[in-house]
Amino acid sequence: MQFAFVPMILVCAIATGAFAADKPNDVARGKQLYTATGCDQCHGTHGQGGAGPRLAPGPIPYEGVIMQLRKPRVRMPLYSAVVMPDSDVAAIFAYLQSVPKGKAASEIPLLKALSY
Amino acid sequence: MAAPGDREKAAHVGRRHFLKGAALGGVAAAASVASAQTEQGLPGSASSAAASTGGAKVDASLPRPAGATPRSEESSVRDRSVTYSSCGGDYMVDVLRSLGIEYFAATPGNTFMGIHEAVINYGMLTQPNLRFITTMHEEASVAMSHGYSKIEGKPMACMMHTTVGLQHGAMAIYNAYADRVPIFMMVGAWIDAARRPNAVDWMHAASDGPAMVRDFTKWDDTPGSLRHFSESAFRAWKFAMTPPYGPTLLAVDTLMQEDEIPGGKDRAPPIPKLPRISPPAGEQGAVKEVARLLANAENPVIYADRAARTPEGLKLLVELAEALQAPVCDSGNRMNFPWRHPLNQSRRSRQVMSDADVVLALEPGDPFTLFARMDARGNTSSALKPGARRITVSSVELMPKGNYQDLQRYTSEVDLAMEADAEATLPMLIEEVRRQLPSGRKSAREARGKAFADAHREEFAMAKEAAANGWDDSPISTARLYMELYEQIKNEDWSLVSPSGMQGSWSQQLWTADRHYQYIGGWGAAGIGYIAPATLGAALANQKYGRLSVSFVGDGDLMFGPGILWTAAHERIPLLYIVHNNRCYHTEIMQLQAIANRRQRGIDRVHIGCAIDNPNINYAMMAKSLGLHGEGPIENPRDLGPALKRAIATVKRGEPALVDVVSQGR
Ligand code: HEC
Ligand SMILES: Cc1ncc(C[n+]2csc(CCOP(=O)(O)OP(=O)(O)O)c2C)c(N)n1
Ligand SMILES: [Mg+2]
Repeated sequence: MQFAFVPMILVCAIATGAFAADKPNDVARGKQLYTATGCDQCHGTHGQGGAGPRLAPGPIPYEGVIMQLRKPRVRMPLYSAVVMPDSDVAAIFAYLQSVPKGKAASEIPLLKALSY
Repeated sequence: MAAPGDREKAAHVGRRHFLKGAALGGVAAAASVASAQTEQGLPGSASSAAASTGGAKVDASLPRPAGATPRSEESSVRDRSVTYSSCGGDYMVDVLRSLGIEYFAATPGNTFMGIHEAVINYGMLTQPNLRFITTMHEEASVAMSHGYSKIEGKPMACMMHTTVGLQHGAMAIYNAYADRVPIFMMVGAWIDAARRPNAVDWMHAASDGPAMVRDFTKWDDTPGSLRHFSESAFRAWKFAMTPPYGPTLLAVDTLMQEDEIPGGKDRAPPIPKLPRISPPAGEQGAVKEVARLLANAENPVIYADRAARTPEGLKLLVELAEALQAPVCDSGNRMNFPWRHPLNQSRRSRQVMSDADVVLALEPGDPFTLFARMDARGNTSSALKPGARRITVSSVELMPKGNYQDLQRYTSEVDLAMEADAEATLPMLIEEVRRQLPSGRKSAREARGKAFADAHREEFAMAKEAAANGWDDSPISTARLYMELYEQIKNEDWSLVSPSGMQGSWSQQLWTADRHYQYIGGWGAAGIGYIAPATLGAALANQKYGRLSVSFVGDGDLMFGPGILWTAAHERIPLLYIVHNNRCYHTEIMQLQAIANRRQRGIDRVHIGCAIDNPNINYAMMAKSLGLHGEGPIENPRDLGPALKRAIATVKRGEPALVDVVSQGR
């Protein structure tokens, strides 16, 4: 959570906006936007969940994501098209889709051994 | 240091000298009082009888006759050349001890030097021991007492300097009040203005000091004599310890602490006898009716907020839930119910509530949260199905106060509000439920219990998968943080003394706990700055039982009063602090984002006022400089286990330690 870098990241994000159609760039841009627009504060650095639910790996469909941003359920901030154009949402979505599957609980000794 | 014999002699000689002065002064004083009374015809004096029989008329405008006792002779206490051998402070120490008080936390101040000196030179050197705990902020003294009480089930003492100290303590008092915790507080009071020696003493004097916290204390008093002190100390203890528990406050006259005991040590007033307290239990008719409703319900649900006041409460709640095979939703403000009990449905409370036909809410702070919902536009609706019966058992409702609005957010419909202490009501309720349970429905109850056990198992499996998300992330995930710790402590007699909500409540989701001291809830009034000192107070209480105390403290919370770390080291209180270092006031940043976005201005500036970085604080270094074992900052999750292990080894040796973990927001 290096807030000092946020403005710089935003500048990068705007500068790379022209390449929105390009899928690999979308992922990179989406990753930056994900942090720069504060999704990470509530959904974790890689979408793993925190104050808000897990978003990645395997995000809900794009329609669900944009719906949640434009008309959020109670506790999540609104992201209107003014602060986040559709192309940015698409980039974030591309990033969320790209997050690799992590380990399952059964592959983590501390969790696997856990029972009651 | 003078040998005890020397001291004794000095005191003796000094006392003779003093008595001589006092005796002379006393005679003079008696003479002048008598003459003043004669002139004024005051009741009780010889002249009042004369006045009623037509005595001489008094001209009140005449100057007083010369010969009043000079200030210097009214009292010797502030004359540093005079020694004496008995003092109010020692008597007060004896009173505190007789209340079972073992610790006295304070940041010093000259309005209570009389007690301070008595604690260190009398209380700490004689049995039963009363130990002085040095703090670096009055908020810390009160918060330590708060945490201590929740573990020990009885108060320690804390004392504050008058106006200035009490103002510092106020926030922590409010937390304890809202958390319904017994705290025994004292504050110095310079009552006799004619004897205040310097300007600062005037700055530190108030005519009614306790007034400023009266809205969130249960009771206060300003004793006028030593006898009054002991009687009111007993009242304060008794009122604090009668449900609803709460903080009480005595404003103790500075000079009464310092002065000799009138008549000498051997003529000190008696110390009253402490009663056993029987808290108010529910009225029998109502208890029977509630038992009938619960026993015959299809889906009874128990909600427990600050219900288990003592270890007994936890046991009783298990008995009730098992008799009914009813789910329990635990608010997490106390250890009300074992975390891995199959009937524990705290994580599913919404679901369970919406299926309920009878809900029994025990000591609910805010029944509205349970029984109703409010949408974004402020419309409310019932959270229960139509016809569901709502029962509350609340001792707090016996003592509502007007100003601070910490109770009952909105009224929600309640069918039966039992104004009683939940824990005290449970034995009778359990007995009635057992008597009234329809025998024909046994298999239905068992099926219900089994369904809840399955749901609990499923929740547990889901929580494990959720904990796996981001397992190897840096900043370190809160789930990993809790699991790495659990791995190290699960075979110890551990006590998690901090609230877990700021880190995703992973302990309740994944750990196994069934003893009352394993979890004590949180702030009470969500006043930040509680965790660092309150958990140290809890650790102080755990110390004599040899328990391993662990505390997750927010970086923001810790920086409200980092001086507490020094207290931990200085007093050698074993506690493992783990700094949940998300480098911000994370709770607030989330809210700020929402506002900025509604105003469509974007969130790229919300770090201002919320981020705690630039520079980053090195908590391990800070801890070391204050005398603790320090580890971190830990950024790589693989380093976490070994760091915790080293820190725990220190704690097990009886010392505090701190591990700084750079973590996810929540
Ligand atoms: C202040 C916290 C916060 C921030 C910032 C935030 N969210 Fe959320 N988000 C939530 C919460 C909380 C929910 C769950 C909805 C609820 O219960 O109100 C949620 C839900 C969602 C969901 C629906 C998930 C599901 O499974 O239904 C998506 C998608 C989502 N957020 C995406 C985002 C994205 C993308 C961003 C950044 C542009 C973002 N959120 C920023 C708190 C936040
Ligand atoms: C006395 C007080 N001041 C301010 C607040 C507002 N507040 C609520 S949470 C919070 C952040 C606390 O920071 P930290 O302890 O680091 O926890 P985090 O939210 O980062 O998990 C603040 C400032 C409060 N509740 N109490
Ligand atoms: Mg923080």
